[in-house]
Amino acid sequence: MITLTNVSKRFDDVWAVNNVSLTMQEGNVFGLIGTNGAGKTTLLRMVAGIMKPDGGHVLIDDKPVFDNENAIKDVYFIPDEPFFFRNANGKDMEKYLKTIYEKFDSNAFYEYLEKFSLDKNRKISTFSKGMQKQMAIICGLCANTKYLICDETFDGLDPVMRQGIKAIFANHMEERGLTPIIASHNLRELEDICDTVGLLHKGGVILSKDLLDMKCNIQKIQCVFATEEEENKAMQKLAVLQKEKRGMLCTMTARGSKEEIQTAFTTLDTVFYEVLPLSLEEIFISETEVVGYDIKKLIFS
Amino acid sequence: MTLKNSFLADVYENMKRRNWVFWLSFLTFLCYFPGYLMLSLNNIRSRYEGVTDSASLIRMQERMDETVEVLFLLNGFMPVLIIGLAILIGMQGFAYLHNKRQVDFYHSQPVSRKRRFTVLWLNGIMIFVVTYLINMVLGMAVATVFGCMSGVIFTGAIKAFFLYLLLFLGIYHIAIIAILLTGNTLVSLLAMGVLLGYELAARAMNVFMATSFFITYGSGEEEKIFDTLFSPIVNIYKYIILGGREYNYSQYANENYTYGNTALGLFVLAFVFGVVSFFLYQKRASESHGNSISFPKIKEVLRFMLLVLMGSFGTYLIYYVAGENVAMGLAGAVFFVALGHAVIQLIYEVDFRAICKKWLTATISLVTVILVFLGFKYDWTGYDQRIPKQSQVESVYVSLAAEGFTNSNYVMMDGTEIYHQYKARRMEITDLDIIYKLLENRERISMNTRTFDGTYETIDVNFRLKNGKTDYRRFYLRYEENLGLLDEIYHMEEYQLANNQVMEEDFVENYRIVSATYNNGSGNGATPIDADMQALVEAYKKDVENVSYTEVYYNYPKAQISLMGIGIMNEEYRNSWNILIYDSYKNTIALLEESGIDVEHVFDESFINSIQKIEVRLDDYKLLTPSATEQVSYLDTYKTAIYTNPEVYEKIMENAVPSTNRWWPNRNRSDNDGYSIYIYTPNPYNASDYYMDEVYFQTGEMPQFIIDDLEKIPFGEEVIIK
Repeated sequence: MITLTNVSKRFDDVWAVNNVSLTMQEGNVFGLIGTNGAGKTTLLRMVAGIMKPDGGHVLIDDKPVFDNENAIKDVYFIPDEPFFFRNANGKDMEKYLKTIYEKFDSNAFYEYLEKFSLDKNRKISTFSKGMQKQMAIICGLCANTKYLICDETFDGLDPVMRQGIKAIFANHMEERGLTPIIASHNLRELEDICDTVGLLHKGGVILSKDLLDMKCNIQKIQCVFATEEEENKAMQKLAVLQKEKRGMLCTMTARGSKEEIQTAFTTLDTVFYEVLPLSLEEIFISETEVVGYDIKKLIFS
Repeated sequence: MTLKNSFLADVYENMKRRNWVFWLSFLTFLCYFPGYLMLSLNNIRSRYEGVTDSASLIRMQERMDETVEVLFLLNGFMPVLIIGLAILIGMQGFAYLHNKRQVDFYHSQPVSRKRRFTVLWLNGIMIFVVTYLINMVLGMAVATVFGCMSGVIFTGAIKAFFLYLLLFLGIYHIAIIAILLTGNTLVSLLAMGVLLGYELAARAMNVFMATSFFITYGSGEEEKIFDTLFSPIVNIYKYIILGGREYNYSQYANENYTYGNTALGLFVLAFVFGVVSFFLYQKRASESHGNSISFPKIKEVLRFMLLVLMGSFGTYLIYYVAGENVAMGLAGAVFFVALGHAVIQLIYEVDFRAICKKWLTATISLVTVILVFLGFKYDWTGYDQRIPKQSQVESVYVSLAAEGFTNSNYVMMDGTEIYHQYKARRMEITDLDIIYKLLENRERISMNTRTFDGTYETIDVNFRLKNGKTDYRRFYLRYEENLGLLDEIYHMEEYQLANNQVMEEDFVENYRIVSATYNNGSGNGATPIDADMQALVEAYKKDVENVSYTEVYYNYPKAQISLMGIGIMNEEYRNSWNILIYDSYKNTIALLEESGIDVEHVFDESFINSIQKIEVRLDDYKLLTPSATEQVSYLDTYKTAIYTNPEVYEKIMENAVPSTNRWWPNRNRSDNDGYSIYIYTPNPYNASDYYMDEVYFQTGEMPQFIIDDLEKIPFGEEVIIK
């Protein structure tokens, strides 16, 4: 388990990560989403032991991570721009990584290269961006570490490859208990794969929950109220995050389970109402809007 | 080969990434050792091709041996090569810290910082050591083929290698520190320049200011520029230049710059810089890449240090360019501090708009620069008025006027030094009461109040303090009022022994004096002295013991004797000691006359008889500065009497001093009462031409009839007196 307690990191006068507390459970896929500049990469670099927090603690299985070989040996970090040695090919990377990671699986490495049609003798610098990402993922998976940290790793992969890699992740999770930690802007991708999601905004955590719980606790409602008075009553009874009205049709996002929302609506006089599940993207927009990250401001201001 | 997760595996893998540096270093030493050696030795051999006489063959072998010796032992070029390689190897090993992708890659691996540093550090050293030693051995093989290899060269080469290794480590660690303190390569290079040169530049600045503003600042103080605490480069060059002889001939040791001292100094620096680089590596934040300075806390300290140095330089420069104008100097301070601040801001922030920000440190620096400048200029610390307390002084060295250069090299049993160095190192006067009594009478002048009225003369004093430091001073003294004290100093044994090496016991035996020549400066050249050397030196010593400083001060020497000794270390090396003979040296003069040398007559009869004419000119340059309405031509500033009567020549030449004697020590040497006396003798090769010699008279010894004759001649005229 990876635990972050009141973790902060400052660059000059700017707090990139401010007092963040999170828990990343073993065997789960943890998705880290956030607005631009929210501190996702900084947070991951601290989890990977690259950066030392200015405040708080990052523990991997109860061991402090910074400059601690015992903790970092269980982590492999795939940055958004992976590095390969100048003029190195797949074989060179394999030779190097197996001196670093005790459990590096060379056989699996070459198998994956073959499956992904990556020539082990070809210079990695001649690969496309997507192929280099594939190479980085293969290196990460074959290092056989308990935790695999992926920063924007899926961006740049084609849909087929994304699905393939998701399947490989699932296999590793099942076979050896891999815990992937994935940061991405592509919420649709995370929605498919993540068990838990942490939402960052301006260096702080807005929420960190089980994705299913998250989805169950926020609902989209489309309805037509009989009178304006009924609409006001609904606003008082429900924890509305967002509300939009076009003609008589009112669209709202409100906290609460489907049952709770439905119970509330039974007491209201409506012409029509419907409770719909929210996509992760819609949850992201709603939650960030609450803390002032309003897309409408960007579009209409 | 697969080395699984071990330190050696890390070393091996890292070395794979540093191939190009390895091969570059290898090629450098390949060219230096076997390459250069083979070409040079071959070249020497080919130049002597076909030569069969043994003397030439010996010379050829000597030249080849010399080439091998210079190459393998210490020389001035090798440190340059090593400094370059150390910077390159250091930067290549640690420059990954300036690249985010590489930092993410390496620092996310389960390798502790200590271990990663050790791997990178060790590989850098291995690159140097392996490539140096392989090529040194190859070079030795080449030397062996040419028959120039010896055990001495081997031992010397190993000793040189260890010294070079320490130099490499020092510079290598400085390069690593520069990388660690900064966030990009360009700033690293600047930082390296600062780390390598700041102390030297600051010391030079201090010396420039002190030399310019303190009148008592002694010339020996200037050498303190090189008393650096943190410069491996100065350490090695001091040894090569000042102590290098010891390396080739262990007997020629300069006690301050021995191999052991130099190695220890370099080791301490390498060790300290090594510890600092290790510490900084542990503390450096991974996210520092791209920043100018990795440790924000040192930014302002660095800015202050650089601005003070740059501002001081600017102030000094403008002050002088503007004709020692203080106001302009201060304006220079403002300009240079502002300029320096702008440049530093640009480096720090990489943004032109930033040059107008963060003025606090710049302001503090400016105030410091101004205070330092004014402090020097107006001697706020009272440097010129202060001398070390007598209780703090161990011994002193003094150098008096009229005692100086005699073209001698003074040989020491362990090396050769020129006169001043010898004196400075050997003279340890401990009877400080006399010295301090004399210094009490010194002129209390400062650079701002100085007036050179011709009545001051200098006395150089080096105070050796009990705390091991030295303080070189130049004081101003009216000698004529202090001759009693000066005589006392002159007769001190410590003074005489250091001032005149011939006064040493067993001088003739120790320095193998085999011959002597006599020279009175008349142009007759040196005459061999047919006398027993021991007797000559003993007579001279007796005379020196009886002579007073007052006599030396007031009189021209009569002649100079050159004593020739065979080199202590090898027969080829000869050394000469020039000693001066004064009128009162009765014993020496008697011995010289016994040997057939006419000491009394400087100019012999044949020379006097050959004189064609004597021209005496009296200059009065004051006539050159009349008011604007009284323009005087240069020709009107002197008058000339020309003597053509051979009968008066002998009278004139009786007390004349040859022009070459003018360079011998004597306070009156430039004082000829305004007269110029030219002697014309025929040129034996061209009947229509003359040789012209100049002679001098000691003050007050100009024949009266010449003075009377010139009295009658108006300025601007030339009169022939028959």
